[in-house]
Amino acid sequence: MAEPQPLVKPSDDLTTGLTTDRWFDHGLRGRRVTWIAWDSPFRATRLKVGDVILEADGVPCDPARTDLAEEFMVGNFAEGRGLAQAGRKAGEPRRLSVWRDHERFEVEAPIAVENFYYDAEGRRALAPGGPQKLANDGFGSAWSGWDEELTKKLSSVLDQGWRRGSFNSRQVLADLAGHEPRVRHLAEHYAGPYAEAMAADLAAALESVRGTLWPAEGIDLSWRERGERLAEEVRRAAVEAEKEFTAGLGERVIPAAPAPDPVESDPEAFAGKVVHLERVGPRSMKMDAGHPWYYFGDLRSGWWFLDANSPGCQAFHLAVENYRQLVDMSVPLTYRFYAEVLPLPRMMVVDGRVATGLTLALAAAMVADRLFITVPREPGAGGARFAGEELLAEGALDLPPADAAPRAVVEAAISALKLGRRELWRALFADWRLDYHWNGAISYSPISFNSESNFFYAWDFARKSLSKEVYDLRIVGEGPVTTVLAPPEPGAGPTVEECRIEVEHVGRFDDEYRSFRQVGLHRMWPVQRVDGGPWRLAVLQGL
Amino acid sequence: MSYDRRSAELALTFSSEVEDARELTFYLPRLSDYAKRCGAVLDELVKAVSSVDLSDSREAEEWANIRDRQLADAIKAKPDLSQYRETPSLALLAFHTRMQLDEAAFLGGLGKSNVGDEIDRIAAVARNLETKTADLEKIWKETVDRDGDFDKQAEETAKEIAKIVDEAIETAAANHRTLLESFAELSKINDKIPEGMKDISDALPGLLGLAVKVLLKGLANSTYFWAKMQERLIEREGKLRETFAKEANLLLVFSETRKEVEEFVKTTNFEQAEAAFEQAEKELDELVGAMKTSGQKDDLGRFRDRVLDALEGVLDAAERRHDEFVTKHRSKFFGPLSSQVTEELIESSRWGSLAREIDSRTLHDRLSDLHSKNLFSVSVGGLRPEVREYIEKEVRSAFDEATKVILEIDRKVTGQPPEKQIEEQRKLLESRLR
Repeated sequence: MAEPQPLVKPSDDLTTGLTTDRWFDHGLRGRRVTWIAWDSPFRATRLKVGDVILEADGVPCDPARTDLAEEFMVGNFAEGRGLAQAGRKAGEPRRLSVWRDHERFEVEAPIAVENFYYDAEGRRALAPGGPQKLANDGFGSAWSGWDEELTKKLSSVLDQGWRRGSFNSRQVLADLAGHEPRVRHLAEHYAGPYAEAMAADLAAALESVRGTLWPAEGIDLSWRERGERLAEEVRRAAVEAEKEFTAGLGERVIPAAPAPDPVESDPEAFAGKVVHLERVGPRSMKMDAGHPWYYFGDLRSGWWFLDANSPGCQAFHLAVENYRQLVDMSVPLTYRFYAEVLPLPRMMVVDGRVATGLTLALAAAMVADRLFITVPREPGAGGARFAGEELLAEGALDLPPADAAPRAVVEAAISALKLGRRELWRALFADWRLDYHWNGAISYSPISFNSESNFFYAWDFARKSLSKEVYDLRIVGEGPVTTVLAPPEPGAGPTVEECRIEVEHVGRFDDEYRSFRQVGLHRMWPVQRVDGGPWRLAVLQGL
Repeated sequence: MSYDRRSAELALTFSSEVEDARELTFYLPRLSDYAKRCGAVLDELVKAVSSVDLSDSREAEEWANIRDRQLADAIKAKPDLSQYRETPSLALLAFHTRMQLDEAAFLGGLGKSNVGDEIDRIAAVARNLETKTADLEKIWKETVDRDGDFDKQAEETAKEIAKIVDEAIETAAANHRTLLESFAELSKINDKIPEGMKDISDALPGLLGLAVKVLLKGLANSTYFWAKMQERLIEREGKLRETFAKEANLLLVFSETRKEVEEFVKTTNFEQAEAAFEQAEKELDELVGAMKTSGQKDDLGRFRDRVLDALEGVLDAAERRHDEFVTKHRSKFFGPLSSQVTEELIESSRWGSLAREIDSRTLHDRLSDLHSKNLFSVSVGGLRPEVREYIEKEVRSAFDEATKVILEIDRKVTGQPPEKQIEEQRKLLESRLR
């Protein structure tokens, strides 16, 4: 009887079974664990994917240290060679100093050797007894390819996944769920440590990407309901106000087309009449040598002109902006104007041709059938108001006190976003900036370089997200306050402290509220202060 | 290198204060690189001002983008002691600290400067003046063209009115001729009237039947003609009034355009471009003043001069456009109207000829003249006095009636004497240009 084929053949190469990458953060330098092989002795320790190894056997794992061979560092591609050169032997302990979530701890496991695995037929396998590397058991790809692919995906979740800018938790969830049948097949046909490790890793990753479950009763949607309720109440008020307004116009309404030519007709004959102008928008506006005008009409049906800089129009635009900020950022800018005819003829050049028409004064406007704005003949300090605006008086917010904690600043920003308090939100950002260089060095700029347009887009994105997929934001972590920049001697430059607040975004999936992450949503909210001043948001980000 | 004073100053101070060779090797190249990048910031900003595109309304944004990008590069290039593996000497630490503080003044001052906004203001003045110049040329042409059309229409209508009046006079003259013939007929039957008739009225209808028939036929023709003429005159008169109204409206539009241009001139003029330039100059002076070292001041002083030189080019462009605008449109669209422009729009000489065209043929005058001078100038000698008296009485009565009808028509047509109507129109147009 032939000798049974060995299922494991050890090599001479030493290994810890770890894969690591460079890590720089807040002056902390080390190697971040991106994967722990299923057969790594470190599987039995506290060490987890995502942990940062600061030292291995008392030697710093600082990638910036040019006196250390980075390739020999723990988990790097030549670690085994480094261990061999250092005279280390398999079975000897490898002691790692690890950092995780502001905690430092030690783990220890024996140095292992690289193993080759075979199935009962002597073919190369992923684990003792199988599966064969090149077989696929009826699945779409070979086991070796699948293992590599899934390992990569699991690593991307378990290794800081939620903190990656490009991480899309729901997309990853759907993707990983597609691997469950094959992992079950693995357990059924190749039971053993490899199958168990893969099942455990997949379960852990799935659990992670499903996101934290937040009990519905703990989710405060009053701000959102308030927003929706307000939007609906304002819409209803708008419909009523428009009805009332148009009923009051009586015989004053004249068709907008054809528009009279004030040379051919007496302008006085049209004074005080009112025209409806449909489908007006920012595109109806054109510049006349630096002065904005709304133009309505064409060469065939005549022209009406409305001064977009007139007090009435300015008051109207402010009222629309007010609504956008307080109620609904996504309101489309399509207007129905009610404008009173003034006996003032104008001759202007439109698209290179001379156009003659009468001037209008904006009397009222319906915006996207959602808000109705009445414009007083002479808008004073009160300006124009939209119907139902008085409903928004509730919910005033103030800037947090100068000594407020970092967490309070983030909370204030979240509240300001929810309630549409743009100025408050804007005031919570730092007006300085730190630049982080590739080698871990940090430099201070006395200006933030954040343009107003950047603020606009961040706010716009955040408000839109809050009206759609983001139901709440929860602070789930608060890092320690660290000094990220200190002058070489007191008073020789600013001292900048930083605290990172970790925020989860809550979405609604299958009638459950769960944390989720997608492009544009930020989990880490760094907050800084300079020379003990007030804490401010250090990075311009919407949500 | 254009801006080398600060660079030389840094190098000199560093070399005189820091002696350690390793520190020199580490720090000096970085310092030099940083100084070069600072010079590049200034070079790029001057270049941006030199290549200002007046048609681009976002020069300030572009300037700010260049500034921020370049400054960010410079900030990254600042020597960083954390990269130095040795323990720095006190001399190096002291130099580094002082350099950081001095450079914060340079980087922060430049980063907060708003010279780009002033560039935008000057460019906007030039751009808007250029656009307005072209637009107003079109508007002026349109105004003059339409005014010319109305003048032509008024002249044509006046001529038509004159023609109708001529026809009326000719018809009246024809009626007179008919009457004259009638009187000739009456002379012929004079002898047939018996002498010493007591009641001449009994005989006259029979005797004068022919004459009266002819007379009445003439009058009937005349009345029909006047009714037709009335329609034609009313139509022409309405057309003239309409033309006058349109011309008055046109001048109202012109007058409103002038008001708007007056407003435009207040907000867009060369003085504003000059004020923006002065503001830029002031900001740059302040920037230079805020520098901490003589090297920085020298470099920034040179930067200020170059920016202002380049900005002067933009200002010159604005001035050229302003001059062109003024040359073409002063006394027309803004400022007191020149007599030439007023004449072009009102054409006072035209009013005289137009008035004469209608006045000289005023229906009222000419009919009165015709009636008083010509009606009874015909010879009715040979008729017995009582016959002549009778005929004169009847005919005068009939003619008076006809004249009344004619003059009533005349009154209805014009409402007021044409010369008055024309005079009022002239005054209205003048008032619109005031």
